[in-house]
Amino acid sequence: MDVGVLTAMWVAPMIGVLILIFLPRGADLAVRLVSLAAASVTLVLSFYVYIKFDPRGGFQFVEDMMWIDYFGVRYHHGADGLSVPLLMLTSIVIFCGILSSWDGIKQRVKEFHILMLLLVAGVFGVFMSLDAVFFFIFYEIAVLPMYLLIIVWGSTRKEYSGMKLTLYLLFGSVFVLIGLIALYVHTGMKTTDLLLMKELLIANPPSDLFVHTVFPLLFVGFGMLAALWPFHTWSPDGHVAAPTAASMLHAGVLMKLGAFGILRVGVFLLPEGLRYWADVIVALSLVNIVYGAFVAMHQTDFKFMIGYSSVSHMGVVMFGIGMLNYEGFVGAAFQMFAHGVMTALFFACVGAIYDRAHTRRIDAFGGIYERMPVVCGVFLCGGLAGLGLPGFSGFVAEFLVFWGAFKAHPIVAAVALVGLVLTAFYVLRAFQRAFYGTPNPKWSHLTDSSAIQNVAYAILVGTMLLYGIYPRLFLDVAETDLRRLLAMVTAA
Amino acid sequence: MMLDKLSAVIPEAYTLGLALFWLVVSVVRPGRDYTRLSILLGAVGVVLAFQSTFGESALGGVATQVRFYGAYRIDLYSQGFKLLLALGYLLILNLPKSGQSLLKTSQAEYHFLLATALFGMMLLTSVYDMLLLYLAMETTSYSFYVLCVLRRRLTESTEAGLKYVLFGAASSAVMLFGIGYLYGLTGTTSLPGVFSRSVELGTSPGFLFGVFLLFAGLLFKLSAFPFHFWAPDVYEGTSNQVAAYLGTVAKVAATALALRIASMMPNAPLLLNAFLWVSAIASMTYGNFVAIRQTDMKRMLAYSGIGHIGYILVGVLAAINMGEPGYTATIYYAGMYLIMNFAAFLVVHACLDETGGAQIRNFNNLHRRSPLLCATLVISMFTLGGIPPMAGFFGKLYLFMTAYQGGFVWLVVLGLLNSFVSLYYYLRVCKAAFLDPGDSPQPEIVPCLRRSALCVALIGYMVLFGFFSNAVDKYANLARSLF
Repeated sequence: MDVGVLTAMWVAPMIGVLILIFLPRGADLAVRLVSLAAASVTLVLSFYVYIKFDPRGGFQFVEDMMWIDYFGVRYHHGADGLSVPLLMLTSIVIFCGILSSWDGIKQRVKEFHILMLLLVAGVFGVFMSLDAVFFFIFYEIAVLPMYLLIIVWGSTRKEYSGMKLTLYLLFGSVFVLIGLIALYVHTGMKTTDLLLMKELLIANPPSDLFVHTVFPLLFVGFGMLAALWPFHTWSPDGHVAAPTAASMLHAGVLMKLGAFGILRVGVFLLPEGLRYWADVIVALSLVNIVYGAFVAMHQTDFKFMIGYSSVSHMGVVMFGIGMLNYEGFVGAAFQMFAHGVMTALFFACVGAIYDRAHTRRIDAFGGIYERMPVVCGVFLCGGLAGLGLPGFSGFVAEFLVFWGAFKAHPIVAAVALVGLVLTAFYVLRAFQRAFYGTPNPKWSHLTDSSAIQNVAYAILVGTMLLYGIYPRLFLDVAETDLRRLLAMVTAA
Repeated sequence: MMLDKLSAVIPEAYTLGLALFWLVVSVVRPGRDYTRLSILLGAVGVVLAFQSTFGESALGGVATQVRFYGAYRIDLYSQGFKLLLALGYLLILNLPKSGQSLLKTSQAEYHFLLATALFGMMLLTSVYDMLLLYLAMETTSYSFYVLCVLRRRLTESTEAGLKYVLFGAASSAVMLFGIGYLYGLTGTTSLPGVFSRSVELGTSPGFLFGVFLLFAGLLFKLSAFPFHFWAPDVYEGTSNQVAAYLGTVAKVAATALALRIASMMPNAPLLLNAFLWVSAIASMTYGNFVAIRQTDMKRMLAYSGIGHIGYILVGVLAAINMGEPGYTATIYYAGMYLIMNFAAFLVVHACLDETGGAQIRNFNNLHRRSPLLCATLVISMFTLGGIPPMAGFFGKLYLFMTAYQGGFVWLVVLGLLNSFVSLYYYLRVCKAAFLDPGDSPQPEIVPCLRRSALCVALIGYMVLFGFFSNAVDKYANLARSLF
């Protein structure tokens, strides 16, 4: 047993939490600095993992030890090509999240940062955990602080939205838990280690009926967190109600946990299940893409618009998974990363506007570009990435997904493209209505973003451009492991 | 010779002595505050119980033995549960008595009755004979009947006590009736003697009826559906200490008895399985759904307790049909339930003044009034709801894993959906404590050092216990000693 860099990555925020608990109330600057320090540590560690990762794939930085003998629970962590970019995404988003809420959160600062760091420790844990029990525990740690974050620091029907979000996600985790218990019992109750379970499943293949019933449990359970239609309604409400940094983490990282769980647990353990249900998944995610975009078009609130665009974009992820070819898979994985950065940027901008203007109605603004050139410019970058402008990482991701889609289901892919066209429509229209036009004298007092916020924007925009211009940064890391996963699915 | 025999029953003997001591005190020097002394004596009891469970030098120790003319079985299982009960008793003593909660003049009686109830419950973990079962059950019940009305001046308290007596007496009669049937059919009062004939008598209606009635009495003590009616009223009416005692320690004792009886049935009659199945589902569904509507914290805890008993019945079913893993999981869950429910009661007692009832809205603004109590409350709610990584999650996970393996797939599905439903009302309490502003500015609560330490210990237990890898093995040892 050697405690390595992965353990350090989820323990660092926890240590931050412990320090914060003992800081006196009112020491807001110290609180912010401590939590920024914890986030910086994870940022450095995730960069280290990213650079040191061997592109030949497989699980690396492995830590493995027995934890609970009686049930065969192991403390087993490892990172592969799928999780390494997501680990980095998480640390980037939390770092920028803390920066962009630097002066937005004014009350109960200490509790806010404690919950944020707890949440992020859970997210790291999910991305690196290779044991079903630990995976599930981290998954719940990542979900629950969101409830308190929304109901205390949120806005717009925060109590309703917080409860709705929590109940939806916990409802999903009931399905996940049933699926995991079924798998555990099927493999003879020997171990909860995902890799060992996989070996046992290969040695003793489950019946078709088992695969066909348990896979949808896992898929729907995790899919709820990825805003799978028709279980998506918590997501826009939750995004709208959550405070800025929580929205960033939530849309940027938390929704990816769902898609990641589908790949790491569902597809990894029961690849035949994906093959059997692929068409249903394509159909559902098609609804996600097109319906999400249509609803986004009709929103008058910035955050609702972005929330529904997230529904649409997460549909692209599941769309890619359902294509069962390499382009679709890698596009889906890339889209998780790209959408995470992009949507974090969106929410950071909207948060900055809301903090100053105290409204998010698109038609209430007009001509604020002159007052807030940086925020509006950055928002435009996010919007262009969202509609898939080449040069941004979103373009590469969506291009790959649709390349895969046209290979597998050309007609469905053509329908799904409508969603992308609509994205261009609603993003540009919102931009034109709110930011251009005749300046509304009501907003003459607005000031531009602070220097700290600009740092956050710079990091996020820079990441989008970097990965958009040089996508091999991502593809080289992820390729081997995604091909391996795909081989399991397509193997007859 | 005599000493050798006694050494195996040290915990019970000590508890009986304790009861007699408090009886004498109640006569000689009534009306004083004996909190410190009682905690000290209770702690001695825990040490003795610990010694008899784990001590290797103990004369009787944990070697399995059947004593008192085959009526009393001492094994690791019974001693482990006695330790748990003694621990629960000690915890209850840490709920201080305020002026309104219990009459000042009944301090010593209160301690006397707590100790006799503990004595009865300790006997329950070891019973091997139906007559002793009945006696132990009544010793416990009578103590509780009186404990419930110790808050004498309040009508609710009297109402609660009366309800409890009436329901309790009826259930005792039902149980005695069942015992009569079983005795008539088998000619013995020895529990293993009766159940060793369950194979040949398994289909006879008289035997089934007898077992059914016996379990009906048990389910009453557990407050499982459909014998749950007394619980919410009694919890609401009686003082916090007694409600906590009923809601935690008494449930653990009844669980111990249920498992003991289950361990003697080589194969359960199909009808009993069906009965427990229905009762388990009905308990969790009814308890959880009704708890949603409660505005009174103690009533909510009563209904959530009914829900938890449903989970425990799932474990009993798994134990009957699966053997050792089922017992292990149920014991694990019962131990967990004691601690997490006690933590909830501790906060209730510390924050809500007894005169104004235990409305959930009285928790409002708790995070300002006392961050430590707020943390204890939130964590105990999360633990009760079975949210990872709290200990309650592991308890539920083990329970449902074994039940799934035993083939109770639908029970597992419904159980998990139920625990999802329960999160709604647990989260609502968290919301009140963490978010809702208070109606009027309320004073800060500064818990004394002892209680702060207790809170920290409980939080540590609830957060970390699930991760202790060898705890389950210990519980598995308890389960193995049953056979």
